[in-house]
Amino acid sequence: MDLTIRKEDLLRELQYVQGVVERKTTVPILSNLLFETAGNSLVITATDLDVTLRCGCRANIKVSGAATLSARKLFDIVRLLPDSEIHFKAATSDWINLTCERSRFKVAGLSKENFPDVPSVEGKTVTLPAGPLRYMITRSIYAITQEESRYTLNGALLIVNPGTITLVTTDGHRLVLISHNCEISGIEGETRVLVPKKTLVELSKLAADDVLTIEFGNTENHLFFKVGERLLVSRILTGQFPNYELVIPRENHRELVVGTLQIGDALKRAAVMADEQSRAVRFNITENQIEISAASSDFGEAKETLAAKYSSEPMDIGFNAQYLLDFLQHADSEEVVFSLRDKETQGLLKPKGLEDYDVYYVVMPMKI
Amino acid sequence: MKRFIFHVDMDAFYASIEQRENLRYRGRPVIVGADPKRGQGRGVVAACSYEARRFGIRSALPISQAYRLCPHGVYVLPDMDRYSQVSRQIRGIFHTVTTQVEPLSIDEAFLDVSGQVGDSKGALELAGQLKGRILQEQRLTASIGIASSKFVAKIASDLEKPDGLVMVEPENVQAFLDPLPISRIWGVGPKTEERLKGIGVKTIEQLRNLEADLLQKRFGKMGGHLWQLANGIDNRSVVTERKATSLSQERTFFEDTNDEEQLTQVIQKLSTRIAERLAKHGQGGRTVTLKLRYSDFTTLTRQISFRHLVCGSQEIQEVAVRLLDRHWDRRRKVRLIGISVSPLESLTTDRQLRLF
Repeated sequence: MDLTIRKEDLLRELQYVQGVVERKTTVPILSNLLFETAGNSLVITATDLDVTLRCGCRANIKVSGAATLSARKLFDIVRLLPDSEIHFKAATSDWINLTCERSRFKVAGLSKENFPDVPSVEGKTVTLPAGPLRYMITRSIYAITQEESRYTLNGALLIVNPGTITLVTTDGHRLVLISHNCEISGIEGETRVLVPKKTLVELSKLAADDVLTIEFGNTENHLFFKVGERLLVSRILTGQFPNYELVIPRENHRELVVGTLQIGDALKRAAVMADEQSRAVRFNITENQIEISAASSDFGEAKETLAAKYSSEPMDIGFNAQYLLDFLQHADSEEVVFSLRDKETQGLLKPKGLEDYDVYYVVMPMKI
Repeated sequence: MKRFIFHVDMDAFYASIEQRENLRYRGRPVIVGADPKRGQGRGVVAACSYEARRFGIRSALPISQAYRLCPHGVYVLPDMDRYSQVSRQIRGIFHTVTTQVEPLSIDEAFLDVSGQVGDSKGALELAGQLKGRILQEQRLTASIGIASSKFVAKIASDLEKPDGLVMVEPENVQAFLDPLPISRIWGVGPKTEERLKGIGVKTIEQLRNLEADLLQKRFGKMGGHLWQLANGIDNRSVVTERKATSLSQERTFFEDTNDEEQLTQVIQKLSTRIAERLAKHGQGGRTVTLKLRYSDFTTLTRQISFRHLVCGSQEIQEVAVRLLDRHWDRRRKVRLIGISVSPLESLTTDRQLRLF
């Protein structure tokens, strides 16, 4: 292998693939990137066996070949190099000599024979709008469980049909459903797949500002997304995603409308005194007023009163403050609507007057 | 008030239950444990009758070795459900004597009878009655040690086994302890014993004659504790409710395995059993631990912790399988696999309600 490549081109692609490489891996080759020449491009592949990202960029190739190099080390080197041409040349065994102006590196590689194969994912694709997809990912990814035990909740349910895209995420305590109406070409019927969290993170990076559309397809075990030269392949999460339609409450007739910023600030202050483990806050809702209180046996208590639109029977209900703040931070509306029934039934929260997207946030109360 | 503490230890508990329930086992060496498979078996001796002990068999001995020592013995697979049932019945008898009962294991317990008896004579009488009731109601013998501390009572119960009754009066404690080897001290295992012997300490008397400071320096906090015990000082009280802090289940394979499917199946069974026991007590835990022991006896434990209480078999199983997937070195065969859930908490303390 003997080639030259512009630093900025290489750095841009390295930034994309960096997220796929796991910092802690028991398989050494997975810390490495695979570099292969193809025509007049350098193809870079990163994988953690579940998620694979393949990028390509223009290079001036004198001798074709392949190599694997530590993703971390190469990134550290390349980002510090001057904006100039970088020269890669294979040395003995798996070593690579890397030069750029007056810098010279000799980088240890591993045999490319051990690098895992990228799953083949040829097939029909549909075209998704990149901007809305990115918006929906950032507005729902926070509710994906942190808890690896709930394997099937470790990602989002993606539903695509000719008129809408929907993402559903949950951790068992709360659930986000966000959908966007748009015409999806190239699809018949409906596609439902479980997309792992990491894939969503990488996908939202690929759906950067200047990208308009993303090609999406799936095989039996894999999903893939294509953005120009870049190809993201992911294992489909298996298992039964919960029946989310059943948990969206339909008979919550007590409606509360409140300013997003106002309730967010009040919650943040009250939460200072909430029990650190449970983050529990208590709502006492009366006509056009909410009182939010929190108490910690070690530190003391807090009370916040704020105005709201509410005309039903007074009620008390407890929530994890963090769960409410997560939603409020992503609401993108001046006001939010709480639809409640009683202190044991899940609440439904919606941004008020949000155009383009339908957002449902379902959150289970805490016992008070 | 003078303290009177009983340490009641059932004699060859599992084997005695088997012998009382099977006429033809009586008077014969009974070994409860893994299937010996004519000397090829895996696993260990869980308990054995006194007849079997004459052949040099003791609990925790590999079953294959036991078989070599005594091929004509009666080998019985343990029936833990049955033994626990008997254990509960015996605990019931203890509770007719005093409410201050601290079960140590399935076959031994401390009883604080200070409120029931006024002097040594009364204590001896009560212990005799207790032994009589256990024999009459359960047709099993127990050995009882009586002393003013748990530590001395525990040593005393072991001295005249089986069917023993030994009382150590407070004024005789030192004379009683002094000649005993240090290994008799509760908490001195083979390693500590070796280290103590390294500094020339073999008997409790020698230990007592060391400077407490020196012991503390060499052995840390435990050193000070050991010195106190050697001097007959033990103020620990009988704790009636020791809260279980974890629930675990494990399985030793008859043959070491690296069959992933077999391991997964065992995980499923163990998870189900843990979940059933958790459900029975309305408990859950925030940490799930997987334990793997390889053929060469190296043991690995790996765990994941959560914010919520884990209690369902499905969830326990999923975590354990994930841990296995991530940490098991597939080139190595597994001898034992175990799962535990800890620290146990009542589910009612988890205030966050769940959607599903």
